[in-house]
Amino acid sequence: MRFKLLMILLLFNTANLADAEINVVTTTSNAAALIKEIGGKQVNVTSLTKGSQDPHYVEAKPSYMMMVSKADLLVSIGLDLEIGWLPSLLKGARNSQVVAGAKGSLVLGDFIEPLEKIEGNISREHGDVHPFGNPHFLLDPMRTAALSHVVAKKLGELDPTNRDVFNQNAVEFASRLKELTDIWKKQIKESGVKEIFTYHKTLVYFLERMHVHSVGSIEPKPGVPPTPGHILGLIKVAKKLGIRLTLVENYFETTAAERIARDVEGMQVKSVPVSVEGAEGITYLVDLYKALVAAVSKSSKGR
Amino acid sequence: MLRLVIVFSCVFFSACGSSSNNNKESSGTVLFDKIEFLEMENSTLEIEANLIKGAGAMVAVKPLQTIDSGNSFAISGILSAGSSVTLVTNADNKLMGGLEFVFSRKLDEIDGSVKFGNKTVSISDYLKVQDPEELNLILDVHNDESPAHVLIWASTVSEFSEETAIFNSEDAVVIPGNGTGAYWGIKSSQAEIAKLSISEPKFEEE
Amino acid sequence: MNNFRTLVFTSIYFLVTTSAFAQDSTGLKTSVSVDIAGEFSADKESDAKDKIGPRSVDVIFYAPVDHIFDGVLALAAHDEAGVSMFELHEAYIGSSKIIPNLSFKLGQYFLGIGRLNHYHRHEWPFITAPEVHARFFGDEGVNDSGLEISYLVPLPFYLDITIGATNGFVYGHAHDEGTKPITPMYYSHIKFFESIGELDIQPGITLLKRHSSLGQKMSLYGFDLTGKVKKGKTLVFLWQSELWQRILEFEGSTKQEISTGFYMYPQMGLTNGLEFGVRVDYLTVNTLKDATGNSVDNSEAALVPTLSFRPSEFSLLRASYKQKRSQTDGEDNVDSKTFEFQATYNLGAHPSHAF
Repeated sequence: MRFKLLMILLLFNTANLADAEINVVTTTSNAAALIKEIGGKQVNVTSLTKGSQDPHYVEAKPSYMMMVSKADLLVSIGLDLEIGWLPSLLKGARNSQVVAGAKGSLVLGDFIEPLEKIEGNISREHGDVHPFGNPHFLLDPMRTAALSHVVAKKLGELDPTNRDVFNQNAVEFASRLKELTDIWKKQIKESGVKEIFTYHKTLVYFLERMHVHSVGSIEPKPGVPPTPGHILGLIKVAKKLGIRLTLVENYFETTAAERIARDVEGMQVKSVPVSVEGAEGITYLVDLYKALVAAVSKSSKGR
Repeated sequence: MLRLVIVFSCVFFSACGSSSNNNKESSGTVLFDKIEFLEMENSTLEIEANLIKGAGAMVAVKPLQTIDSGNSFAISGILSAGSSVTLVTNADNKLMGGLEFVFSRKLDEIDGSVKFGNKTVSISDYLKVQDPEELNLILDVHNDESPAHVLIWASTVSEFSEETAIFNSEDAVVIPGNGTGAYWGIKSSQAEIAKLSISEPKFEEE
Repeated sequence: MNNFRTLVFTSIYFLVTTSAFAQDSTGLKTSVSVDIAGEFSADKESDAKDKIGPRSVDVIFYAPVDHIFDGVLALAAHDEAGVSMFELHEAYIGSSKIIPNLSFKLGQYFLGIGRLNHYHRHEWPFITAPEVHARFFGDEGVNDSGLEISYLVPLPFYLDITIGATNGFVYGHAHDEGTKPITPMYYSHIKFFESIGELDIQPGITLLKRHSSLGQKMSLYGFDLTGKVKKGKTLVFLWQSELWQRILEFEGSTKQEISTGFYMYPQMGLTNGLEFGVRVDYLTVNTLKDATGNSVDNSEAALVPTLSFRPSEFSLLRASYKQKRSQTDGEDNVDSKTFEFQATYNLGAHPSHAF
């Protein structure tokens, strides 16, 4: 009798463990959205940053330390995106499970071949550069699709009983993204937009995927606010090359872009979300990609 | 008649007030070199506005800013044979528990020592340049350092630095402690003190 | 001794800058911070030195030592009477990987008390130490050697408890190794954190006790409060304040010296990296009595408006105008006015910033 009771208890507890969510903390809302797509009901995901926040400049708040201290898995972007705040946060969290190299650490940037990797002599005179590559790769739906398998693998390591669920979710999500990407590329091609301005270099991966080229940034150097001289230079470029669209990440002011638009006939300035939950209606990654595609494809035709 | 009475009364009362300590404050304290002092019990110092003679002790009424503060003291006077004067800093209001800088005349030299509790260190070697009869010194006592950092200059110097000091406890002799109070004063035995003053430290640590 | 320190420092510098170290794969990071400061009299009462120059150079090396421990080495050079004096500020080994929610430091470090004492001076939001800080902790802060443990209590709200015990041989500015105290110096700091809308606030409470070999007992009690509103890289609003009380007692005596002081520093972020704040300082010795036993009202107060320009997180220009008043019963007030200037810059890596 006692043995049967014990077995029932053990089974109950095992079932509970199998049903226990993996507590995941991510550094960005885009990473959180990816984890949710793959982890489904098996994960409880929290993003340290809101969609409306610039992830380069985040305060290492004690409340974040608390969240990380309870995490089973910490997912970060890497490529030095979080270099200014994550080490301090990890130190304060005191959770050895999620430190770099630990089982509960997943750095997404380690699994892609980044764009804009800088070779040669670099220094701070070049602005806030990311020498190991541009970290905004989750704005490329196909790289996101590839990373979904990486995420599935990591979740499977932490929760082997649901490994198949994670893998299936990854396959389905990746497949869906591929189908949609083909549609989006066609939409942008039909719009005729080939060259635009951007504020920062956040959209590099998205634009590369959609075969659109950013020929100028409002920031003269990454992280450096625009100067009047630089704005005048961009006006000249816009007129010469027929640029008619500037996309500004919605955590930046549009003032400088609007100044250019005043002098360039037909120039449109669009404030765009670059993170999930960075604007109303952007709840999933697909929503985010759709919004970016619409911002490009529904603008006036340019070169 | 009334005027005469008034004038006589003024003279009488002022004569009554006259003694060897003719600069007594109404509170029982005395004024010396523009500083108010309180004489210790059993003191028989003769205190005038610009000269102190006799034997006894007195404590400055105005306290130091804090116990762990730095201050500069100037002391000038004449040490005849067998006389001594002790500058006490960072002590309690009975001049106990402080740092005591003892200067005494020994034949043709000034003997100097620093006492704290039952510990004494000699600084006589550093006072040899002084005129044996005249005492003219400026002392910085930095009781905010551990142990107290003391510098002594001849009062004729114009620049107060570690280089111009005739004594620097950091290079010479370690002061045996830190004063435990916020008062200062002197104990004298037949020395003639002409000047006694306090100010902000002359030397500031960088 | 100074030449030896110079030699050690120079050797480390050259070692670090050779190609072998430049391609280091051990994670070693080097951070150099230079703090240039100057003060100029604005009236005859000011005791300003009327000069400007490098106040300190901090060189910090930090890296994982192995899979468990991290190491920090912080050297600092200060100008003392025209000579650059190198000294060890911090040298400690630590870990946050051994016991969940717990981290420790073992070695020499700035004590984890209050608010300002956690940071190197070049990271402060103002140029010189508040009156209460200068009196109780010196111009830079208190460091000592010992063990400090911090524990993040697993509660639904943030509560961090730090306790530490250090040698206590010296406290404040000392020129020798000091003497063994009656008991090691010990301290604790408890801090909370809460977000109210966009405002993040962190209050803390400190206790520190020291019993020196000379029988002096010092007890320090502190309350610190920091509040911030940050948008992107702009610190829109900062509130920083500390309130301290110090009690000095001596063996064999019933008398105590109690001093109380505080500073408050509200600061607003303006535009394009400009920040403006005004610091208010106050310090008094509560128990000051004259030799006749009468209480003596006294205070040191200062008003310090401060303007900072921060083009990036790696450089800073700052100017302030310090108006100080010293008041003592029965004496004329002593007012002094001083212009202060500061420029700081950071070369190399920089440890990521805590809240």
